Amino acid sequence: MSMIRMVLKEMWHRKVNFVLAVLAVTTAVAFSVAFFTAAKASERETARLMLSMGYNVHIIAKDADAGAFLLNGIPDKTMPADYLDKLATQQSISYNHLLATLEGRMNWRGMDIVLTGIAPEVCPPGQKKPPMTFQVDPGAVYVGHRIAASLQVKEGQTISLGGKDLKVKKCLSESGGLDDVRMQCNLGDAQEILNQPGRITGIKAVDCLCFEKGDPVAVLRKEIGAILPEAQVLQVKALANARAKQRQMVHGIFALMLPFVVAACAVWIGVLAAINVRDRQQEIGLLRALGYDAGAICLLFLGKALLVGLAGAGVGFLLGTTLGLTYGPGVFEITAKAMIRWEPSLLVFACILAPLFAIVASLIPTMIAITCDPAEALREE
Amino acid sequence: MLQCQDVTKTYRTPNGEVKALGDVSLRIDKGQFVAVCGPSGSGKTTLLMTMAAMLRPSAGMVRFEEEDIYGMAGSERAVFRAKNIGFVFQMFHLVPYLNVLENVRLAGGAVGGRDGGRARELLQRLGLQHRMDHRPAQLSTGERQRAAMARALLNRPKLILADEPTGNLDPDSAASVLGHLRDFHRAGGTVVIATHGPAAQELATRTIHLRNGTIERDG
Ligand SMILES: Nc1ncnc2c1ncn2[C@@H]1O[C@H](COP(=O)(O)OP(=O)(O)OP(=O)(O)O)[C@@H](O)[C@H]1O
Ligand SMILES: [Mg+2]
Repeated sequence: MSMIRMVLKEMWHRKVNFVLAVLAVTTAVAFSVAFFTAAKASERETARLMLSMGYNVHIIAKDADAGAFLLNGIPDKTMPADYLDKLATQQSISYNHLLATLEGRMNWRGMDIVLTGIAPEVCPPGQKKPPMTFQVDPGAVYVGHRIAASLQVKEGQTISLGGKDLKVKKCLSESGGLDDVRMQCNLGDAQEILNQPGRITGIKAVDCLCFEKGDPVAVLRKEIGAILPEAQVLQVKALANARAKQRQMVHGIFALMLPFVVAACAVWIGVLAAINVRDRQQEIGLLRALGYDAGAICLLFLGKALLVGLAGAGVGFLLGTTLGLTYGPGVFEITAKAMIRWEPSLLVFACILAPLFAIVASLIPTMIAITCDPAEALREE
Repeated sequence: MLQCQDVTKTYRTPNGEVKALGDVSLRIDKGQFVAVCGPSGSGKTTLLMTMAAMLRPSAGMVRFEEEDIYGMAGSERAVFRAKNIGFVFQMFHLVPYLNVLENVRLAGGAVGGRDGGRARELLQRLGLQHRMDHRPAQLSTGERQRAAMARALLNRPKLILADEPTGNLDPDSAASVLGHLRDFHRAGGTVVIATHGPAAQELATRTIHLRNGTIERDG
């Protein structure tokens, strides 16, 4: 008879032990899966909110009038474009996504508009994130809704802007804000049109919300101030931040509890495994007496642990996903339901970690029973 | 065939050491039917386990056909045991979740004896042909011991060691088990049986009396 059949028969014979062991793994897996499912959704929502709120850190020239900038959204002074490069090469700073822009007011065909030149987005080293805004190729322009509507600009047209020909890539849909009177082009083109070669008016950044303690603005000012003394930092405090704070807190509580729950389950599995092996000590003695070597006997017990782990991983994943989807949004303040979804990658993790966990817990009592003389193991308690 | 040389076994317990065997020397020749007698606690089980390569003595040497069995590596000894020695335990030690046939065939697993025919034939010979699919818990104690006998016989051992195989049995079942041991002996096998009962001693060609872990009388 194969060892695997023996494993199955034994599990069927000691159903209660099996069910309890699976339950222990299920608890650990379900808790972890629920946590990570909700946490991932929370991260996604944070990113989405940040995107919709725009960049939340503005770096502008030191001599720019911060009041005027807040009033009309456009800095009145420029700074060298290489500030971006200085920032982008810094290691371990509390923001990601950097976007350099040159903005200026101008009059086009009798209408006051804002021209924004956008440099390709960069990330600090080690922070690989997809761009949050579109890239603008040289020679292309994106036209705001009001401009396009008032002046009959159509996609595909070539327009002349301050003497430079640009092709209308897209007419943007209505935003109800400054974007409607904005034209966006490549940074180089804007520098030419506004006659500001090598200059930018601002760098926008998204802070990474990874501030453990302290005032984020103060941390950012300190970090950026050290790199760019000729710049000032303004942070847009927004709802997104408040939500992010809440999530960080819940995240912290869960992260604190998770090891305890997992450890409690580990002890539980360990105790069950030890009880099982103790109950089966005579069986181990008998198998040794019949000439089975340690490997075969290990297979019998660790095979069971493997199955317990896999069963617990499967059930725990389903349970954890259900819990995460049901209660995650409430606990993590996730408002967009679309952000929360099941995470297949967690199933893969569970199917590797849970059996490993069960095997390690079973290993010690099994090894103890195997290493003693068969006669010792056979002795009645 | 089997030789014990100054075998001593001391058990370590939290309450001190217990000397179960002291300098036991004996040899068992092929074809003998040896009864090991002695009061409870005299060391019968300890001696049989030591001879069966299942319990390492604290001192001394056990040889089987001139081979030092405790000099072998653990896995080597396990295979050696499965091939040469059949053991019948007082407490049967059947695996509770396997049926009778599977329990008997289990003995073949370690030495590649996957053939179910011999197990069936043995169970038939021992009168358990109708019980092959039953779990040990569904059998009478006599039937359990016969199943254990079939398991001990499966690999055609040279030596069968039986530790009070009839201790828990009614007289009829005991007679049946002893009958099968006698058959094995008649077919050329060597038997060592630990026993209190006179029936086994009658079958024996030699009786060893143990007392306090030493041989009191041999012959
Ligand atoms: N694992 C052990 N730990 C401590 N002492 C032990 C152990 N096994 C046996 N003993 C002691 O060793 C001595 C011999 O025991 P053993 O079981 O060999 O006797 P026995 O002759 O088989 O007795 P019985 O007829 O009751 O089965 C006894 O005094 C017993 O208490
Ligand atoms: Mg005994």
